[in-house]
Amino acid sequence: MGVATAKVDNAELTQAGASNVMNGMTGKVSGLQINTINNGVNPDTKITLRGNRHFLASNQALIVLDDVPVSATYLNSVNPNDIESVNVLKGASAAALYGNDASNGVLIVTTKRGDKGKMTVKISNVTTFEKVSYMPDLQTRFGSGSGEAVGVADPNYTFWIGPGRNTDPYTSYENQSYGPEYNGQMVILGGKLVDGSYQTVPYSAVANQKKAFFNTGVTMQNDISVSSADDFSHFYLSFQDVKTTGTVPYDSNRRTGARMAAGRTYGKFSADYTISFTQTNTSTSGGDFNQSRPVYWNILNTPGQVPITKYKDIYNNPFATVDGYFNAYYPNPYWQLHHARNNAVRNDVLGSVNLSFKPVKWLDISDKIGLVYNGITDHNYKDEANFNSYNGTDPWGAGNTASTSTHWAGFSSDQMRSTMILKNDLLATVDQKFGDISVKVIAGANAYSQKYESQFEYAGQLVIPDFYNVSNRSGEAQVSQSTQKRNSVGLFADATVGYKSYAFLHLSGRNDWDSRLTRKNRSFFYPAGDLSLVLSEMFPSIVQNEVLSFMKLRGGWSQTGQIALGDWYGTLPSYPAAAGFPYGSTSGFALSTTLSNPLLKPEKTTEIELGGEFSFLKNKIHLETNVYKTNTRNQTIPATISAATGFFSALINAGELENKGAEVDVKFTPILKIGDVRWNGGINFAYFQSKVLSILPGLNEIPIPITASDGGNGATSVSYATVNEQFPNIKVTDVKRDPQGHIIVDAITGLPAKQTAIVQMGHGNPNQILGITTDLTYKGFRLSAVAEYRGGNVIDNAVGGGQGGGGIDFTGISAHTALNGRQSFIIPGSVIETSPGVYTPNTTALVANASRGFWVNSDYANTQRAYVTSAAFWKLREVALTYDVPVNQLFGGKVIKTAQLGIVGRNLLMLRPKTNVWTDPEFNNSTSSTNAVGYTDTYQTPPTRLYGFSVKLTF
Amino acid sequence: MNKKILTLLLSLALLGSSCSKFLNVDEVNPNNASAVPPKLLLPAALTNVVKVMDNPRNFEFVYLWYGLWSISAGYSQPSNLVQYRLLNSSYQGSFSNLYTYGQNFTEIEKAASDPKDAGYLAIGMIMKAYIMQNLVDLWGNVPYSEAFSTDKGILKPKYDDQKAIYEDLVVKLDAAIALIQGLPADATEIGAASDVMYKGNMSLWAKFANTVKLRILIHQSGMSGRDTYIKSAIAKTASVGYLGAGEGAMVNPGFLVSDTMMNPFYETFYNGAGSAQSDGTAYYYAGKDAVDFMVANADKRLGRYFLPYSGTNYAGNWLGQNPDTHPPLLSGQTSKLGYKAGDAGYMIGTPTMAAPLLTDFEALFVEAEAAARGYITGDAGALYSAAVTQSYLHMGLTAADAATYIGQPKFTVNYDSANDKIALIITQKWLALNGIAPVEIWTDYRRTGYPAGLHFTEDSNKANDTPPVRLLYPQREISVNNDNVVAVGAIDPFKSKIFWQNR
Repeated sequence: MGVATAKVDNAELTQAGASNVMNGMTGKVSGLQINTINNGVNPDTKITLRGNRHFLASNQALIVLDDVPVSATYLNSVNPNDIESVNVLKGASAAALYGNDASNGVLIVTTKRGDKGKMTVKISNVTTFEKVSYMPDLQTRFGSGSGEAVGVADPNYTFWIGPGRNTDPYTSYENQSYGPEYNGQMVILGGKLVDGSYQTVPYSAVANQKKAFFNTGVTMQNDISVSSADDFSHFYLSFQDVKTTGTVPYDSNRRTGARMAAGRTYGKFSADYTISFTQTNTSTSGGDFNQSRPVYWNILNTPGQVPITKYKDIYNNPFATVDGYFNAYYPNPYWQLHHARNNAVRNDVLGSVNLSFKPVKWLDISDKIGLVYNGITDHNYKDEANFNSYNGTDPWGAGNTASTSTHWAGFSSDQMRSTMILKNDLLATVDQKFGDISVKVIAGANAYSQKYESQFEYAGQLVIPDFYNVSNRSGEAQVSQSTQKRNSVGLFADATVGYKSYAFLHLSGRNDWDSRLTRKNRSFFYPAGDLSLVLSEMFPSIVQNEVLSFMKLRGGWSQTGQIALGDWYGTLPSYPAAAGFPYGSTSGFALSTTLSNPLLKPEKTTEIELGGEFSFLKNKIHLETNVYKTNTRNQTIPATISAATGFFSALINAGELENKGAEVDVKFTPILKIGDVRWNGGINFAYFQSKVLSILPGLNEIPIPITASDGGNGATSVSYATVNEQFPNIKVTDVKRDPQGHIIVDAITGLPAKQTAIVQMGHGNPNQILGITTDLTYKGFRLSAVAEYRGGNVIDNAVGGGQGGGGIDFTGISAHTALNGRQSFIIPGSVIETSPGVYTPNTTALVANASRGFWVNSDYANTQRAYVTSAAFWKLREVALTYDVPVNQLFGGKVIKTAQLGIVGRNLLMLRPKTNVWTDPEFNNSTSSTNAVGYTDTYQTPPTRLYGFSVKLTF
Repeated sequence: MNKKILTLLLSLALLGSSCSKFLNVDEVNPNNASAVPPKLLLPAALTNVVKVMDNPRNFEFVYLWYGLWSISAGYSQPSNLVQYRLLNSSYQGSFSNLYTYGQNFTEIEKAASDPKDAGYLAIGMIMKAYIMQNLVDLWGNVPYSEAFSTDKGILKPKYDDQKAIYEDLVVKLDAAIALIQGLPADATEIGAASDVMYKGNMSLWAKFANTVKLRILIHQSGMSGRDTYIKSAIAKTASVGYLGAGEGAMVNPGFLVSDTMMNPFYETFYNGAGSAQSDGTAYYYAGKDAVDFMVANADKRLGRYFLPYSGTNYAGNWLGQNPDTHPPLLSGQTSKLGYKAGDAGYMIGTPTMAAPLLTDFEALFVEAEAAARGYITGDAGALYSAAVTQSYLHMGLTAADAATYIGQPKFTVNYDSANDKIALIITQKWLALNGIAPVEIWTDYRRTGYPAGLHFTEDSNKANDTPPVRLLYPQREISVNNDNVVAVGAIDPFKSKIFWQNR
């Protein structure tokens, strides 16, 4: 091939016991960026190759699993031990073979077919433990208080302590931590219960309070596989069970799967099939009964003197119940662990059949049939919560949740989603040599059909407690149904002409007909070509010296069409039933707010790539390098338009995104070899930049929405596509600044004021990714490690604040709210505008106190800029130490053929710039399907560290 | 499954012949209809508009700035709101929603080309005039002549002069009234299932159109030299009459006790189980100006707008009271918004009650002002009394209660006792429209300066002495329709008045 490829084999993939294929790939291939965008028991990953090509359409690489194209998320269901290898095609040039979804690059995943020789049985166990590794920096000096007026309230619940009154008074039932400095005295926490009892706690910070809430998660991965093959047939069978309990108590995930592959050759015919089935059961906690906030929010909302873990028993501990919990505004986080659950069952089936007929030596005709099914059933519920009549009267005078409503209804929500893909490729391959010239031509036809179906039902007011069925309700059920179909047909040809063994010209072309576009636009053609020259064979003289041992240069050009319609019926106007309708017998419909467009065309990605491969010192050092540029034009965007048109957005083809980059991979085999000690290593580095060249004439910016699953927390995206800026551009709210960027403050209050414009802070995707892999072997011991650096991008850490009541500055628990000891201070580097346009350094205007007034109410804390930091990080992704037990010597190799013991660790270390005191910048508050990266909040629990052991036996 | 694979293989084999069928699967949308008749568009279009107008969160700033409500002392007081710091993102939802919902009236107009469907055409025109009037009152210059024109390829509509829009709305309302008057004998029956406001009663639609027109004209009464225009415009359709008692524009598609399907005002506060919404009833409390005014005038609506915090004690806060120097009353010592389960006579009302686009008492107040100003004939005092009476009835009280109230010989309640009739009418209108018509309350204050003596916000960090006089253009407009927004000129929320504000 004349384009960049890379291969990761099973050993590399599974060396650190990753239970997820993508975690095992991270840091190992240049240009491949894998983000774990949220941790948890079933983490979501985002996979891109060489940056971004699309504003809104998916930028995730196409996965081709056993010749069947599947979505990137599909890989979460695959057992990494079943994978023979993952072949990474970094560019779009393979699109002729894999269709228009291949424009983002392709990961060709090949599963095991059975090793030649006697039957072998492999059994393995990997057990890993997961612990929260980093929490945001938290303060431990100040307790509950939020300025509830002290004069009139019951002194049992709210009072001043300590001499200084720079803070708010202590308030026993308050969630915010703007109270007085801790002094160790005994204080009431919460208030009197109906029986007159109350609790007291020392007014001092509980050590390790928030981390203690989280459990040590455990993942047990058990595998067994059987494999056997001879010259005419092969057979492979595997089972795997992966059971995970999470760091958030009661969160769990269990993935159980089986795979079988077999094949047989009968003379000119051969047949091969694979079939796999996986079931994944996931259970995570949902939102609280009041504001439906996530668990993590309620943990971060707990003042430091509260011993959180003592409120585990929500049934028997009177101070842990709905009525007795100290916090008058937010529920006990343990409540939602028991009473709000999101349960999902996912079934995945993948089958592939490959029939091949080879009538003559140079011709192969084959037919490849594939079927993918995945069905997901989400069953989410929240129980009702009831306050007793005593608490319903708001006895603590808090204006609290109980007095707002003594009854909080439960809900039950069910959704069934399924995707079915059927595809067939008929291929004819001619492979012939004419003297020095070799010719390989593949001609093929493809038919592809995908159907998505979803049904949703929701009962918002359950009547019988703890019984979850849509029929158990008052009021109307919410129901919806959606079907999407797409069919396509492709005809393609791919030819490679080689001269001797050193010059190869490869040309391909494909025409697709796709049902998602109207008849006029549904046919589109895309060509590609590349050339590679093995100079070291053309001119053997250049490798005469001892230094250079191999040299290959290559270059390629390709063009790919891609259909990027989110709604496959976007060419038709649509009138959905209006919100709330039908009201009984009154039906009502309203036009969609997205303007449909029958003239939509495919997006076009053009890619140019140049590369070289070099080996030095008798192949001890292998160097591969590439430069590339892709330009994607005609982007399909629901362009936000003036609402005065009557629509929020219009589907149009417009805009261009350019993506440039360079990659270097160096492999040392070995770096060092002394006796039995062998040290191999590799470095992979990618630099890339995605830049918006145009959007629409007169339109320079479009927001990139957080579409699905933003947790309903109302977060607004900070990601934009902005002309002449890198993509996605991160823009946030800010206070007024002088031309040098100093904060302008009021001469009297010392406070800054919000500015109306949003400001650009950087971009959400990294520019540099550096991966370092190394392994050291000594006899049966092998020590391997993978480290990764990413940098150049920024992240908005809403876990800190910036969106009014959204973060730990609002709750007053963050370390930096206590930096100035809650005393008066001058905002560092601030200026005062003495006359229009004239700014002098502020040396006099003090902010009255660095307490609630500043961290909750000031425009500084209510704008996002203060929470944007560099997203750079170094991570020690994997460390594994394995030992191959010399079973031959011990047992004579009769029963056990091999045995390996290992200690594994993942994400052991993370280094961030000092400014990022918040969380893992790899996370993102959106699902993998959107491009709005660069924002995290309390819906992502803190980053974790994994370590464990493995045992692998072969019989 | 096998059959599907077979079909797939077969379709491949027959590529060319059956291929087109295989590729035409997306020509019919299985999820949503691609065309809908006006009969089925109208209920949703009316309901959507009332969901914007009757959702208190959309216009909370009016209730809070103008002394009617306050924010619970148990909550952080949002500084932008309390300090008059409007942003381009503040309250922008109504702008977008009014236009996109307005598009559905455009769809109704387009689908009503048959002369028999002129009733639908007239309703479309009237409702768009209603929408545009509210947009002008909130934002001044807004897209009008090029709005709703994607079929002409216009994605960046220009901003029209607000006065010119107001004048054209009058022309459009006249035309709509003429259409109704000229409806053919065989005109399509619109019916109650489609017209969820007037059940197809077209003469009420004509009166509604004429009342909206009167409201548009009366807004301009403070402008110098405008009287001749106002009077001649009113005269053209004076014979149609205006909405009277019991003829308010109330929308009810059949609100029912279920989440997302209830009266929009009610649903802001309570869910389908009758439990409080989070941040609903706990968030908004009584405003001190309103409580004080009603206590001083023995107004029985006090117990309907608000709840006693204990016994028969009512109290409210001013917005932005400084917790250190002038602490607000705690939530336990402040009145909540009026609510009694199942009783429509309290402010929060019931889940199933109709939602107002324009109540009969608002119409009567507008008519009273028009009469007091000599624009229409009629007894201004009688119209005023009728307005207050209808407000009392709306709040579940009796006509006798109203008579007692307005019979008090006080200039704050009694028409004859009041020297400044306009001050009386507007002050009482402010009180009557509490929780009902915030945009009109804001407009009235801006054009007349009544009610006098309001405290607005007490926050010492407020950006201006008095509240803003308009909203800022939405961020979305600035990013996607920038040239046209810029062409309007610089906007100062405290100085860029709506054209009818002459004070």
